[in-house]
Amino acid sequence: MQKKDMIKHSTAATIAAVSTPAGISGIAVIRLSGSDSAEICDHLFKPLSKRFKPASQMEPYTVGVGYWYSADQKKIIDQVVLTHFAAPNSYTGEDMYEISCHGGQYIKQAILESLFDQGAMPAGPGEFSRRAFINGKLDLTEAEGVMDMISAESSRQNQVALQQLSGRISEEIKSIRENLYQILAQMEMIIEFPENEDTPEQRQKILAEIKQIEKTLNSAVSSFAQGRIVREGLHVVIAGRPNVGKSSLLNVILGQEKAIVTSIPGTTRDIIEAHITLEGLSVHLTDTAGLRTTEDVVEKEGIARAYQAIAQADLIIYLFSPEDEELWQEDLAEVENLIEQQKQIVLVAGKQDLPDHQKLLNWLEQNLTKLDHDLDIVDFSKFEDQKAESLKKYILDFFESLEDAESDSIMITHLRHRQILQKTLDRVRQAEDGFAQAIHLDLISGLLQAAAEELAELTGDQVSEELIETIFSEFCVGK
Amino acid sequence: MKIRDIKENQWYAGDYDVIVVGAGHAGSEAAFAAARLGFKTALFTMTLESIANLPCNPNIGGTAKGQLVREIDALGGEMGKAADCHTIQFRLLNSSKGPAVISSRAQIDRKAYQAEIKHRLELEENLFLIQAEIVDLIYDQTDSANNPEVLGAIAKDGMYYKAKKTIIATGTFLDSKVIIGDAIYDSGPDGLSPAIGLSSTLKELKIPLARFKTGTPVRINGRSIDYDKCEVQGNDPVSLPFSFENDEDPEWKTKAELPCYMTWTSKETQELFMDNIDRSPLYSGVIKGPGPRYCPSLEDKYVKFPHHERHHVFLEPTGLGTEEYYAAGLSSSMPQDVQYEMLKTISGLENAEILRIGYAIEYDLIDPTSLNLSLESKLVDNLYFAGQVNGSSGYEEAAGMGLIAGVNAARAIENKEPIILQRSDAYIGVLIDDLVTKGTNEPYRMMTSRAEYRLILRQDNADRRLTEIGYQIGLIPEQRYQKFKAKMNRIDSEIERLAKTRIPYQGALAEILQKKNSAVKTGNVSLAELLRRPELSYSDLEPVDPKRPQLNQADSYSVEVEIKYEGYIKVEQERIERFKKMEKRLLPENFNYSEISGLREEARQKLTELRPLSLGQAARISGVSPADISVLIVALEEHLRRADSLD
Ligand SMILES: Nc1nc2c(ncn2[C@@H]2O[C@H](COP(=O)(O)OP(=O)(O)OP(=O)(O)O)[C@@H](O)[C@H]2O)c(=O)[nH]1
Ligand SMILES: [Mg+2]
Repeated sequence: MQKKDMIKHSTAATIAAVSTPAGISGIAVIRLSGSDSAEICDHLFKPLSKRFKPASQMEPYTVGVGYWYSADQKKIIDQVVLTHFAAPNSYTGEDMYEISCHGGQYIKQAILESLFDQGAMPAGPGEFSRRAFINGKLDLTEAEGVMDMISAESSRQNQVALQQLSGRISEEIKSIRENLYQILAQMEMIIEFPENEDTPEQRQKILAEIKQIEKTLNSAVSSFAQGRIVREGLHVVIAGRPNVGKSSLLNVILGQEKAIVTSIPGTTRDIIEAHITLEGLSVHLTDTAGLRTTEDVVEKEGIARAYQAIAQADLIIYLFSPEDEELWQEDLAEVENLIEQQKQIVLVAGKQDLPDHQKLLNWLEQNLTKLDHDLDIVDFSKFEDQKAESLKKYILDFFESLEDAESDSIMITHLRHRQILQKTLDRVRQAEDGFAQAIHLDLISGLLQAAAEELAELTGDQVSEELIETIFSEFCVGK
Repeated sequence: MKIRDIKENQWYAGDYDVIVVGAGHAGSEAAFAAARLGFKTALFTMTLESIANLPCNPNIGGTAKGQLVREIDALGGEMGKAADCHTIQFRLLNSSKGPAVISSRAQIDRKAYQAEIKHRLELEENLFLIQAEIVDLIYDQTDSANNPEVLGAIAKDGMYYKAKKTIIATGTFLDSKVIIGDAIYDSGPDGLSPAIGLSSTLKELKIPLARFKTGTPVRINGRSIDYDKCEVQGNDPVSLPFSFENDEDPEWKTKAELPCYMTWTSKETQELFMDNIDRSPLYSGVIKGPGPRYCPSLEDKYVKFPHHERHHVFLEPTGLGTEEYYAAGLSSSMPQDVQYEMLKTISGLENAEILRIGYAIEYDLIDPTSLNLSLESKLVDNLYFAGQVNGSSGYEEAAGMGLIAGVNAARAIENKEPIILQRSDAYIGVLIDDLVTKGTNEPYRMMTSRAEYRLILRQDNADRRLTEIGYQIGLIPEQRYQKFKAKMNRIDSEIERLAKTRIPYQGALAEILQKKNSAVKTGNVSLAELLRRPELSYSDLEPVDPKRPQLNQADSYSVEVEIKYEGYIKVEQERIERFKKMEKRLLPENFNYSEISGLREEARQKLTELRPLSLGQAARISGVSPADISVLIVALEEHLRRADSLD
């Protein structure tokens, strides 16, 4: 028999990285994790006074104030606050220190370098969380939740991320999966034993239970549109012919003269992006070049970009102007085009202060009935703040209307989750069809087994390498 | 090398490559396999009269077990061929329940079957069938840092046999005790002697042992059965052979078509049992070992399902030249008088005469988690275990393990990698993986629901799944292999032809479809598409398919299943892909689990103890959670990264 000389598994290096976002901020936090972190800090951190202890003597969860030195101990880099988290109760489960320093780029860099000089290694993307995970501090859905929190821009985002962190999604999915297994067990009793018969009554009962599962899955899947928007923000694109007032509209909503406004058609050439938060909902607003046929090379490129933005939009604000009556028909053709591409559109009748506005409205109402597609029309004028408010309200309502799932149902925010749920749903539906066609139970049980396995991957009851790779690859350095 | 002292009165009796202890279903297959691979093999049996005995039910096959027999045959084993010679009734079970669970079951002429296997063993080159009771092993334990090493076996008569590999296939004979009411005595099944001695050697070798119980019902003299009061269960209209060799033989048929009979226990039976329940050794505490849940004794059924007033009793013939009937459903270890009274309460058996009384048997087994997936012991080198001694129940399960143990013992002599069938390859793979990875706390019986991919693990395609492997191992002769290839060709080209052939709805097809209540459309449709409709069968379409080749029954069945259930099979194949990814992720042998702090304590212990081969196997260990596995995935990756950076 072979000698089992054990290879030591985890003498993992001590790692360091800045964990606050890149860019200049008042305070930055640098994280250090690993068994050598106390020793490294002792070398570089000198307490300000006797009240504070050297790093290695700090009690867990206490702070020290002191000077941070360069690796040669000759130069003070900054005055810092040092926080100690002791293994195994830290984020990573290892010995950890967090250095809060001033936010300047130079200071952050100099402190990191001093740490690297003392033997710390630069942390890779997601490495802190990865360690937290190996050390049993985080499970997979929690890890995904952490990721969302890090990039959460608005309070709604935070709520969903928190929900995920607390494992609510896992709970719900787990119960669906348990139901599936119960059904499978019932079916097994019939399938396995020659003395048990496969009767229509039993099939009815099983089918009813499968239908219930289908319903739950379905509402979870349809919550995805909204879930994704919560995570990424709502993309609203302002589109229309040149000079109809798109840039003006953007500026009014932002309350800021972000885009250039002139009376010359074709003023806006490039995409102009802005970000606002409406009652906690993160909204990305995009102003675009006016749509028309043109020979101008620059404008042409601008219009191409406008179409790209339109393709990505969750909601398109299509702006009409009472001027240039002869072009309304063209506008409508454009709108029809967008409808065909299944885009969500709101028509805005702008420049309400102009005399022909009522005429525009009448024309729109008449012509829209031909469209066989219900579109909302909203008035707008850049001179009336009230109009901007109603437009914002409209955007919020639009978002709420996406919520066809019951409000207390789970909200799916990850594309990965949605794909898995969709696949599960497909399998469950196939199983239902199987009942309709009076297919053998062993075949149906195969489909439900497949459905249950899909879900298991979602809740982490079944794991694969791909899954774990995907999750950690989305993390950034310092987390 | 210091061999443990050979005692006085012990004589050297020869050198073998492989020794197999026990000539039941496991031992016989093991010996056939090792001998056929060219190794000098000794097969020991306590008596030549008890080879390949069927001491319990007189049938081979059944749900999930039919699949096992076909697999054994596809790999070049013997059970199917011998059973085909002595089938006295054939039934295809579960045909209404679906393609995955359809299983063949054959009533077997028991004595003839035993003689058949014995004769085949005698005829086998390289195989030495020896009547002797092995009571001890020769082993070398001088190097305390390494596993002890088995070097041979010692018989009761003092002869000792040296061997490179030893396979223990002692079934239910190790220190076995028969229990009938208060009567308890040392005995093997069927009044045969128990094997005493070997258990203590295994204990010396620190192999963990456990004790199970199983039981068997009364045998009745057919002359005394009132058949008029029973329901007849005849042979199925069509009989199928187990062996793929016979699939293609149009002449093959069963040796006989005897009926079985069915009757029921009564309220009086229940009263009798409940009145005497304190006399049952199961409930008086005499029997401590757990029994098989899926094959319970009658008293078990009454205690666990008190609302079931009556239970099936099947009376199965046990051979041609005998009136002995096996009374399936009446398994019991109640005292003799209760068993006699019991018959009086069963319709048709009121005057039945007992030929053999029902009994429970308790026996030693090894903890199968002490084995590798190759069936070699993790704790003792050169020692293999197969069959019921590993905690299984059933002839077919035993035979499957025997074949694998025989093959792997032989391969180890040549330093070849062991053959390990995956759970997605075969029921045999499921069986061994379940026992070795999870262990068992009752006699393990195969069921289709234990297989995750049973739609792929069908009995009709066992050759497609395994014959290539059997050929690579060297158990499938060239001629049979060529036949197999030709068969695969026939099936595949017919499947292709059916997909390509398009016929018009109009005319003859429309007529057939209307008759079958199946939708008629316009234009053309492929035969494969039609076959996918649940209401249509391959034979239904024959009139509109003039170019159809002549296929035998087995081939056309496979064609039909592959096309009809293609969509479902695909789903299963996708699942298998995912499964295989985890099976291919091997865990380094020297992986130090105690260093991975994210693992829970229980997982760490189990992993250290069981040393799984792959991430997939690790995930199936009870006590290792998915969270542990994800931690293991990340840790494994770090380990590999570090190993890389060391290079
Ligand atoms: N009366 C009136 N004029 C408006 C209103 N909104 C915009 N305008 C004027 O319309 C002209 C064009 O405005 P912009 O906002 O630049 O229009 P645009 O759609 O961005 O034009 P391009 O960038 O060229 O496509 C400017 O002279 C604005 O002052 C409005 O609500 N009422
Ligand atoms: Mg503009």
